[in-house]
Amino acid sequence: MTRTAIAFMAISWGCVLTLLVWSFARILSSDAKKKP
Amino acid sequence: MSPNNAASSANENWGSRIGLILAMAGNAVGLGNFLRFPSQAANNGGGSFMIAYFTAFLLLGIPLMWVEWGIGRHGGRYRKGHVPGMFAALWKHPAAKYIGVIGLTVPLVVMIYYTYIESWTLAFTVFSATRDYFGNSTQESMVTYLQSYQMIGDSTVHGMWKPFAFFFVTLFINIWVVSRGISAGIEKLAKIGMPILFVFAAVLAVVVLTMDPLTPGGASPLDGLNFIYNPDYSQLARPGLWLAAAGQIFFTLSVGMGTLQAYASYLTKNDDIALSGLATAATNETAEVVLGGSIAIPAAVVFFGVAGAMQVASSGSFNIGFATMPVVFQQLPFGQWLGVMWFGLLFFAGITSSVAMATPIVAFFREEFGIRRETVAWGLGAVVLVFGLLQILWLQHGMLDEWDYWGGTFGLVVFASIEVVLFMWVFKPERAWASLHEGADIRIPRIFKFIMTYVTPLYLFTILAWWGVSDAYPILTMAKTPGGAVPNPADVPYINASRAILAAIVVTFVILVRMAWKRNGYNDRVGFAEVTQTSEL
Repeated sequence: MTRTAIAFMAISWGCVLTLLVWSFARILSSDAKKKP
Repeated sequence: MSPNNAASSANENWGSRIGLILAMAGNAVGLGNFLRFPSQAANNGGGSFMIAYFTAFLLLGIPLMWVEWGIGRHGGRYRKGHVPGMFAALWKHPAAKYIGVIGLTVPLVVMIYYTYIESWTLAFTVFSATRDYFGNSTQESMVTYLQSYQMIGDSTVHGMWKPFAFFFVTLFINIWVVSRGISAGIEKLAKIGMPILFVFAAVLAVVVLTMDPLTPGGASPLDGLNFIYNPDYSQLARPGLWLAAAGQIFFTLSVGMGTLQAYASYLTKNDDIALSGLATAATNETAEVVLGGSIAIPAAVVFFGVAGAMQVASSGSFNIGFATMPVVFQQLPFGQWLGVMWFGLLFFAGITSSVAMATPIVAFFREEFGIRRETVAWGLGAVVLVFGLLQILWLQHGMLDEWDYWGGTFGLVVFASIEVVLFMWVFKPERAWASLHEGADIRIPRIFKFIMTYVTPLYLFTILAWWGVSDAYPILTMAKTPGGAVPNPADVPYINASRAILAAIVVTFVILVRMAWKRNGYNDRVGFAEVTQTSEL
């Protein structure tokens, strides 16, 4: 793999995985706050 | 306006927030994530495609996702789980309900041919388990095997009954799930199907990415990833690249279908949609970019080399999924079970999408005509069966391509363009923005208000105009087929008949909407009565 391809793959995977982890972490924390 | 008596009996709810997100993600994650995305990326400049893809995700995908969740939940306040009702709730004008007919037509049309394609995945799961295709070790012989199943060309490989039997079974499972309702049917399916899908995809990705080259110095899976991600910057100046990326975002997120809205209509005004919508998009993108890109193309590169994989990728998504992958599995240890996992994951990806397509139609008949859910579901099954049989018989004459273009491609962009204008312009940006933030767990960055009001509509109208000139008009006048070829004169009567059926479906829905409004005494200028929503997630 060329370095450019690795960079594009890392950015692509990084973006979606960060969004995934962040959104589910926020859901868990907000659900925890809502629980009585 | 008089309250709708049928509406109260049609009230349903999601059982849990995770169930809702899995069902929404299941709706979005489909065959396109694993078959269409890698070939689109490889054919359109690799890393350059990813630039256009993420641009479209930010400017089209995420905004449309929020718009559709917003429209759906707003419709749910009046117990409207179908787009004619949702549009009428947004815009108090007699035309709104008729414009909304597109939100019944598109999901029905797509469901008919999509269920048929889904039945291929069920059939190939069985063919993998029974090693039925083992022995067809070249791409050419597997294409012949696939085409025989599709009743194209040599029909002696498979018996004539197989495509009909698998279609019938697939449709039966779909309708059974839909007939059980939102929580007990669709949500339960998503809770079972989505984890299986992700596990199968992750296992296959690991197997593929750890494969050794077939010969010393031969192509490795990393060459496959290089093929997908290495950028060809010259392609960025090509409008076709940006249109392909925008098209992929449409297909992958299932926007412009009426299905996200239908699911969101079962939320209350105090339920979050901003964060849940984002989590759904993130789940879909993970399935597509991380897993979808790591299986089919890298496997094809190992076995056929970069040049061979390029040829396979340009020959179409189905050839990769149903011919190339079985050739690869035959060469691997436990190949038959890897085949079961591959086609099994495609089946779950398909069925969690097709049950969503049934939802707005079931909601329409339940809410407006007071018909029992089970009756509507099995009635819908009969309609899908009739037209699905036609799809099987007329596949070789271009019926599926024709419906896929008008219903599942151009129709999506038309639908999305209309809904974004209705929500952001007719309903007004301030109200739309406030509506999205009711019960929200996050504040959506304010830049998205500008994007949703101006950039997304402009982006959509540009795509619509471009596709209109480059594709829709020449296809309409039969200067070319949706696949880009010159139409075979022998197929023209079938294409005309396919279009006549499409037109008849639109007219039927217009008449049904008119009947529903008369029956329930709706006044277009007054609006609907709000229903009581009690169950929150």
